[in-house]
Amino acid sequence: MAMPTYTFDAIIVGAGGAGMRAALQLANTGSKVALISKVFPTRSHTVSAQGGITCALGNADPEDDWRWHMYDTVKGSDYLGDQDSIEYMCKTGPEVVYELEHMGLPFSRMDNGKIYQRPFGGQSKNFGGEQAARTCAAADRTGHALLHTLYQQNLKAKTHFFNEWYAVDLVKDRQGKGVAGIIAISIETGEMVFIKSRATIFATGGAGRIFESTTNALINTGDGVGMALRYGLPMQDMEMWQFHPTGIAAAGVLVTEGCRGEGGYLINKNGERFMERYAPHAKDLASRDVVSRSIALELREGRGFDFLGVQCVKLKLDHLGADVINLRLPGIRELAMTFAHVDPITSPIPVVPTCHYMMGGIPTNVHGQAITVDANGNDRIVEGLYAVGECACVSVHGANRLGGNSLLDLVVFGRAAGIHVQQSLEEGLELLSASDSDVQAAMTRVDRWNASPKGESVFDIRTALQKTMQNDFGVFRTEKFMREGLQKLTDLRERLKHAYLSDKSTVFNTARIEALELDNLMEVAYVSAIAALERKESRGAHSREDFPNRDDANWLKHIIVFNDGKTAVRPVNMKPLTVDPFQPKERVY
Amino acid sequence: MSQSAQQARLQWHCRRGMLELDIILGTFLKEQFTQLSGNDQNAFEQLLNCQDQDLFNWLVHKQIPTDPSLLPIITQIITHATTKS
Ligand SMILES: Cc1cc2nc3c(=O)[nH]c(=O)nc-3n(C[C@H](O)[C@H](O)[C@H](O)COP(=O)(O)OP(=O)(O)OC[C@H]3O[C@@H](n4cnc5c(N)ncnc54)[C@H](O)[C@@H]3O)c2cc1C
Repeated sequence: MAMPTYTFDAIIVGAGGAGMRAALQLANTGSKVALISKVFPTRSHTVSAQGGITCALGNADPEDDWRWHMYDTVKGSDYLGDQDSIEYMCKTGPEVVYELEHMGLPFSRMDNGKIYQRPFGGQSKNFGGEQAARTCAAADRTGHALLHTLYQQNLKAKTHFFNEWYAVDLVKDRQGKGVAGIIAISIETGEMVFIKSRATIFATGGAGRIFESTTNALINTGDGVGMALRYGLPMQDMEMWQFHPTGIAAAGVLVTEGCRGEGGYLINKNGERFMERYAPHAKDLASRDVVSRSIALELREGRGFDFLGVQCVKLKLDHLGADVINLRLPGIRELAMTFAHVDPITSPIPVVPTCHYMMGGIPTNVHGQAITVDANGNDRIVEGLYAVGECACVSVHGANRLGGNSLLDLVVFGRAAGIHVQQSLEEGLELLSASDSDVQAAMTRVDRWNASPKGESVFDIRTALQKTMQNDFGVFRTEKFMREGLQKLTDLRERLKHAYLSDKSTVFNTARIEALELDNLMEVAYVSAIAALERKESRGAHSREDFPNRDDANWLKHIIVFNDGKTAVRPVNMKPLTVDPFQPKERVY
Repeated sequence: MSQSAQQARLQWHCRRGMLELDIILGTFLKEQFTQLSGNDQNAFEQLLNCQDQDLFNWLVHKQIPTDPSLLPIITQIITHATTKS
């Protein structure tokens, strides 16, 4: 069958901050670059990042030092972050942020004209001292400004955009040396093409949609992770998912800590202020992970409310009175009315721990090159394949990401991957060729869904998957429930093979895309479950009731999982190039 | 473009970079769109071409758009989002 083909030097899958920064690096040096995105580039999830981008510019405090930022990031990661990567990110950060400034990103300014920086949680001066102010922002629209700036620059640099195209799977080359390209489908017309390239960069973002409650937009389905797993590559640190304690139940939209700061508190279905039991002193203002786990325990014990089929607790504000709510929390009232249809002046808001960020992903080195682990447990670079941004695990976030560090990760490693691909191209990176059967293999999933005669719906399987992840692999983790959860996932994974796509139309068929996305969600969920069972300690976002302490002697290492369930480990990098390594200490704030 | 193809296109274009917009726009399309007048349907399409950050400010923070022609459809969407049973 003759399928339309295109040939590029590099194809980048994903046009968020990471993908667009990588594309720009390459297009500016004259390479022929394709950038493919399932949504229009400026509608990528990076637009949600309203908070800012962290880096030690030294504007708020002239003494500020990238080494202090590095210390905070290593500590924040609960020592699971790779110190060579963190060093590279914190050290290169200022240069990369100034580049963005020169491209025209409209950063907020101080009176003296320098880029304004504000304090965020987890930022310290002088290796754990006073609060630092290190986060740069473009008002409350940093993500938007970043996407816009990079999009305009890419247009100028003549990057070839495939907007509203969906990448389906990687195509292997005929000798098994590496990646020959990718199969993509036009969402508008249903047309399928083979895009050949010397280098392929994944920048497909996160996968929060594996959970019932998440702050992530619908597009965050872990497509790059799914594609890499099916290609035979492993994932790293997939047990590490960052949660926020209070997302609006059945919606996911965040309710900030501010509510509890103003005197709001959480209740269970008996009306009990349960945080008094778990944290007698701090109560509802205990740290995020403590509040999240307390909520999960209440739900586990059957003391939750049912809100539209979702188990939740409630955030009570009505005792504060209409005046206080209208004066101090007007935004929260609007969110509650829009996303839960309750008015907090009279009724409490249903809330639940909500998944926010994926720390794990495709393991890479500092150049963004994808890494796999061979049968002897040694690292092996996957020629021609790269990953950057949230889908990658270069491991700067380790077991827990600090605010504002993700945007920095995107631009620093997007750029680094671009630089490395450029060099490899100059050194003659080969265009690998694929046989018809290799191409056919990458189309198996689409063919399967298109031919499906009957079976369960995508909606039903996805809902069951999300419930399992939320209940058994959320903030409350214990061997018994995770074992049950893994069994449910294994069954669901089998059922998915026989699921049914009823809408076989070609033009803007959202149902088909959702089916293809569900294949990826399933792979992400499966490896996350295996990794969570594997790690028998508590570290960062991974907290196990049955192993409540961090165990550096046995678990200061990355967990690697393949899609057949096989696991391996990789050492955490403790060898930064220019500073002494930071040795693990107890993490107290 | 047939009516169902148009709806299919709009459905994909209600997929945004922000969860809040996915919910508000997706729900409105599903529950209200076919009942709208031709003019309002066009206005909805026009709205989908706007930036996520602007849509967020108008629909979630209730700011007023600079283009007054968008206001009626924005008001309808907000009303639908906040009064749903
Ligand atoms: C509510 C919220 C607020 C946040 N605030 C901050 C903050 O203030 N500071 C901070 O540093 N971080 C923040 N984060 C985290 C940060 O926004 C993300 O980690 C980051 O934007 C991810 O960027 P990315 O480039 O990796 O991917 P994304 O921006 O998610 O882009 C992914 C791209 O891949 C494309 N894609 C995916 N799959 C396919 C496919 N199969 N085919 C074709 N294209 C595909 C998409 O179309 C998109 O273009 C926040 C996250 C959330 C949820």
